[in-house]
Amino acid sequence: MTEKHSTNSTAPDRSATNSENEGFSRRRFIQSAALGAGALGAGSMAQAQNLSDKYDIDMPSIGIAPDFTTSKDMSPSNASFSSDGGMTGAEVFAKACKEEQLAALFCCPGNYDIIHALAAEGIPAYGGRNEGQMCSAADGFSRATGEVAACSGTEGPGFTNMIMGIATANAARTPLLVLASNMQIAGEDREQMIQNVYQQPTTEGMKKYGKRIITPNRVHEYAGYAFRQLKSGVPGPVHLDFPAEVSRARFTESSQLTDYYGRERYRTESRPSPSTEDIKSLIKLIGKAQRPLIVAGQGVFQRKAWEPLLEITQRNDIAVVQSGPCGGHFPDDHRLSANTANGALMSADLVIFVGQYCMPSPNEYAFNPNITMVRVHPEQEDIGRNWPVDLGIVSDEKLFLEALANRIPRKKRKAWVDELAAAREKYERKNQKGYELALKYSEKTGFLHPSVIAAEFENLFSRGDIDPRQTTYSVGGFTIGRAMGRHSFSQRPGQLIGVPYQYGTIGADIGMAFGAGVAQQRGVGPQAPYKGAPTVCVTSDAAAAFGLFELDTANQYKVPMIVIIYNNNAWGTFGLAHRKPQATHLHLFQENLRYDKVAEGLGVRGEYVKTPADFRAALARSYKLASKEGLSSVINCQGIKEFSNARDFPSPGLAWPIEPGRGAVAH
Amino acid sequence: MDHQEFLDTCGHTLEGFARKGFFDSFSASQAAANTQSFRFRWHFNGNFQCDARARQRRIDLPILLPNVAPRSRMDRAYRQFVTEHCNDDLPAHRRLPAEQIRVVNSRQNLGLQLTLREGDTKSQLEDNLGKLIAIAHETYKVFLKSGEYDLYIGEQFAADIDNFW
Repeated sequence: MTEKHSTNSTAPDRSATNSENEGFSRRRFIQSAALGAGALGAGSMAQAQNLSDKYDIDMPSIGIAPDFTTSKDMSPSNASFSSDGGMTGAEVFAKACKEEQLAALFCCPGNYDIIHALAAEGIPAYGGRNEGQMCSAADGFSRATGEVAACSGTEGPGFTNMIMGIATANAARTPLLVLASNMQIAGEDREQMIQNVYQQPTTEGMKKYGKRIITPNRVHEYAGYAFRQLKSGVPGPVHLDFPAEVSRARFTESSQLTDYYGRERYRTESRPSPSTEDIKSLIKLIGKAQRPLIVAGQGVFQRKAWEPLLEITQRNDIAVVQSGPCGGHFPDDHRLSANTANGALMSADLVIFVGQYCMPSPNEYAFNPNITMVRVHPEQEDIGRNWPVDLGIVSDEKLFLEALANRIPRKKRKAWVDELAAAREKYERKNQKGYELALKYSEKTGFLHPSVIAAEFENLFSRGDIDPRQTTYSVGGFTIGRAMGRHSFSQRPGQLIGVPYQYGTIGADIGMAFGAGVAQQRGVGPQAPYKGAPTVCVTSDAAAAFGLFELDTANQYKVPMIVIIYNNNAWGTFGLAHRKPQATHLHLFQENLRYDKVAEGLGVRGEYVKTPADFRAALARSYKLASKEGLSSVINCQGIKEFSNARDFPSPGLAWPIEPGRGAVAH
Repeated sequence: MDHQEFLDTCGHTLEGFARKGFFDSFSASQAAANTQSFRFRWHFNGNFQCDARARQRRIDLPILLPNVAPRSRMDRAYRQFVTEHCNDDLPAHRRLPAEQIRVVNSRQNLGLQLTLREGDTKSQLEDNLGKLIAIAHETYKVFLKSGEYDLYIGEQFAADIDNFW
């Protein structure tokens, strides 16, 4: 297929091209692609047609290769020791992953033996454009589901592309399986061929466990190591690298492998339970307390313990504030939610941390220094770290909450419940004030203030006709992250993904949202009731630049996404260069870049907006097209960097998040 | 409550916050007759001082927010912030005693003073000192997080904006 571009105003001689490409003319291409299984939505077809009409050139439309669909539709293989040639090390590993119900693989080509074996085994696999974004996609999938997901890249550069994603997942304690191959042991230290790197030292400090597997017959044993770590205690990334000698080794019978037995024998589902004494002591403390509060950390989500949590709090009127890299394991709209009750946090007299994996120091949380502090954690050695405890309980989160739910007496705490409600109302009033001010700023400047975007987002997805529990979304970016921090509602588990959680990552946003989108399309775990709904990514121009090409990936895999980009022509940090010579330019981009046009080039709808009314309309339109036709959109929201500057545009909508609670990303 | 009991109560109460992990490197020293000075590391790993003056029945946090010009926008906003915490609408456990607490700007340092009333008991001292420390904590966790003081934080506490989250 020939692509002919002309910028000459004189009409080009098209006869030769037309004759050479008979059967592949623009209109015929569009027609055939539209009929094919891999056709994109009507929006991108129309865009291609508009462009080709405008420039009068033969321009094949963007489409999905037929082989893509054919390949995806193939049946999984059934590797076995008895098949011709037996099983490779990669196939042995893939079978173990299947047995462990590895939920998804996100990768770029490279590490071929492993990714091909995993895909052939039937593990849902997704190929993207950048290993870093694919790593974040696996993280996002896991944050939306609580399940283990894998990422993979090629030996050297693909692996190092994943570093930011691995560190981000580590900070979030995501059960992420990082896979990468490492050429051949035979070539080690000789710089033989290309892509040589020592992987394991590179991930030091950003993983729970890692191993370079060098003994072929131990490949299954190390699969056991990996899943024992991924599925026990506090999760975290596990990094395995496979030299070719391991992945290509062949085994014709199980006796050739060490520790070749099922998962029920190489790990256990048994978990630590709280002692009766611990529960009694805690109930006594709860009985004495007037304003008890539970900080429901990531462990509550990981262990899917939201139901006993709800039961406990309702029985005894205990307030709950969420923490962690994902939100929704306690609904914001519950009468006992302290997620937006910032003003009441300092009133709590008993604070019970449950499953708080990333532990703050006392000065980082807005709690009264007089509180009685209880920490419930699955690992004894972490209790007392950073924050001295009045009572420490070693327990799995779910078993603890179930045990407490069985014993806790009923109690009404009307004054406390009223105080929480008043604090939430105050928070909403402040949001409303921030919104009204942002509308004025937008009108005055002719550009969109980030607080308008945040408020309109909440209005559409949480306060309108759409079920407020439906939409899974991610929030990132610097200035827009702060604005969204005040509006990032979460009403059910796995609904909200806080991209920068703890590590402060800027740029994982679109990849992470894609991973969450895959989970929602497939209806995995807590996403099941909302299967098929579109996923939203709210991000900044700075962050979007890292991941826009994954919209190509989203289109191929038919994951409808709405990517809202707050485009303020700068890194959100630009204000810090104030009064510093020659520093401001370090923070700036070209002005008025068109991310919507980039999106169109990737076969995705683009919307350009700069007024509140335009944004409202574009968001509603994008949602409709995503939910009805499966089309993805990028909404380029043109703002100005000066909105980040409190001297010129003071705004309660851009207050820094108060920890713990809505918008908090540090712990 | 005699002078010694006043000083001992202040010392025990503040030391309790250190035991709970809120203060680090806590120490006490005799600053003058009937005056005890307590030092500790707190927000932004900075050094803070709290003076208990038994004769005046007063507790000072003299430098809570350094380098704030008197009658500046920030000075006024902070006074408003403290006043709101004295509001009758607040529940008793949160309400600051309006007649006993004062915002002071001395040599461009914003600080807080708590003065006990005649006849206040040890438990009232503990309670009000707890409230004083709580509002100081809120100063950093809430007041400074409004988004309006980013440059101030960066300049006064050598804090990088990436640490504001």
